[in-house]
Amino acid sequence: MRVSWSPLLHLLLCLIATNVATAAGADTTRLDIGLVVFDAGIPEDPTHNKDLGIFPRIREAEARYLPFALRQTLVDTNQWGPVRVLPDPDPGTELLITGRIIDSDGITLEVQVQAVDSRGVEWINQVYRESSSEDDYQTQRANGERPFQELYDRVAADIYAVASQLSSAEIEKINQLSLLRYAVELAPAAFGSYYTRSEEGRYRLLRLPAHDDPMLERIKRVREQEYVFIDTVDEQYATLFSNMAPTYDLWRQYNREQSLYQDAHEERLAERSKKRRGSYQAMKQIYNNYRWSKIQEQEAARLATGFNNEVEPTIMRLQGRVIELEGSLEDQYREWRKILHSIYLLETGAAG
Amino acid sequence: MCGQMLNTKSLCVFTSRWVSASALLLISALLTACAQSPAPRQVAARDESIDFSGSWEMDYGHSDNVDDRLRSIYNELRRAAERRARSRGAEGSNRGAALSMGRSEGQSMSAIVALARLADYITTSQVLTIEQSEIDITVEREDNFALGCSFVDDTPEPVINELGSELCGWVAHQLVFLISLPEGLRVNHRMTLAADGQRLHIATTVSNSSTTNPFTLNRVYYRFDPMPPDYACKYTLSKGNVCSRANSS
Repeated sequence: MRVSWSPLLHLLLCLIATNVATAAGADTTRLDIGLVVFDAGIPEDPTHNKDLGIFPRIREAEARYLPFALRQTLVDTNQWGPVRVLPDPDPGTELLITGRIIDSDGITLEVQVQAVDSRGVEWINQVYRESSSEDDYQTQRANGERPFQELYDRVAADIYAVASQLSSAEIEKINQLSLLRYAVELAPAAFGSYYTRSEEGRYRLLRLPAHDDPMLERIKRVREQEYVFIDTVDEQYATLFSNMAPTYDLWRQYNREQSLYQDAHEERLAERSKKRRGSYQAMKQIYNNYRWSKIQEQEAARLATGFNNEVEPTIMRLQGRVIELEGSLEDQYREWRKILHSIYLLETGAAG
Repeated sequence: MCGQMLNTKSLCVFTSRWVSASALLLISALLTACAQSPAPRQVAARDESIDFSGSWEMDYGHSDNVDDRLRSIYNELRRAAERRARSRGAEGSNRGAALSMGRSEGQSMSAIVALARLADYITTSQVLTIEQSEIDITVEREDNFALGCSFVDDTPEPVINELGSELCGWVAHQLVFLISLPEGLRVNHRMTLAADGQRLHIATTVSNSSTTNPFTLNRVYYRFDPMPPDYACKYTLSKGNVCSRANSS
């Protein structure tokens, strides 16, 4: 009997290729990432803002700026599928990254970052902290680098370290659950039985719809339309990012210099020589200590105003553009999702 | 109820334009007790037409000269010493009255000189720029920190940092800033607008817990227009002040 070696050889080659792929980690470029605008970390009680050195409007701008900086880093690695900045969390995202600004004063950037995939599996949830060095701003600006780039690099590396441990099957599951969770948002009755959710927030796939399920095709189409919207929004974040970057870096640099001066001033205060109480020199020193502390505070506030004056027009444009819907960008996103939902209901005849 | 900064005597209270006259009376009393500086005896609700806004330049001709003030205080102390000497039946002549200005007067004088020099140092700003609205006021002082006051809160709250505290408010037609610093040092600025709105008077009183007498220095400022009013300027971080014609689109 004559044996054809060709199909066997092909099968063998396929097995080898699969093993190689598994050994090198699954293909993470099949994973989409959604980065939600960060929580600005502004205390509810505004009286604490001053003590914490927080200028709320700058923090709000940072909350939009920092995720985009992280997005750029993730995109530059070429390890992922599309990476989008979202105004609100999207449960259907394959990997959803959220963050909260803890501290940002030019010297230190501290953010809490969490990444959760569509299975409800938490990849990372930790505080990242990075300090700037003396020549960071000048050197990095000259080289076109971002200050605190190492922080973004660390986040990107940690996420990739988790991703690289995933098997192809796990990535497949993440893809499937992402689509089904999105589908449930539009048609809970039709897709709600395909997976379960545990008390811990983990999602488990029970079965899959047929490959050519027409409802799922519709869901995919609606989802593509949402991506078009998100990509338009993303362009606005990109504009904000590029317009804001020089001013923001300048603000962080000034803030850094101010903080360093303040520290040095406090050291000088601690070392000051004791002058005779009630003498002109002693009283002048007391007054000057207060005077410099106030000048310092007021200079920081002035810089914040300068920052706002420069960045606000861009933020206003960001909020006013995209499509002619009322409200902020965040409201528009919610509005858009409602419209998509309505479109789906009309298409399926479920409306009315 | 007063500022609790650094065990200094209490600072006093801020008021807003909505605070009642009785509250103002209380504030006035506290101002007197705490800041050891003269407070108005009769207090009325703030006159809302008072607007300090604008640019002001020091009028040296109408402002106090520290040396003159010190000379007059010195003469007062000297006369007091003479009166005491006479009443003690000391050998009656004025001979050596100055010399007989005892240790306590001498100490008082040196303490007052120190306070006077400090008051002079604190009030050297030649130009003030004041922005006032319904809710707050900012007094920018050349080469010094800006004095700020919010008129929003009904409850007076001192603004405290690690090196001192501030309290401010209206006492009738005057705007008062009280700064309380370590070692019992207190600075009180009392701003009054002239009836024609063209002169600003600031009485700065400096006192110290270790001396009995505060020292007050009066500065007078006159209004000036720093820039044609049809220019609107905005401070930006990368370009500094950017000015444009207010009417240009």
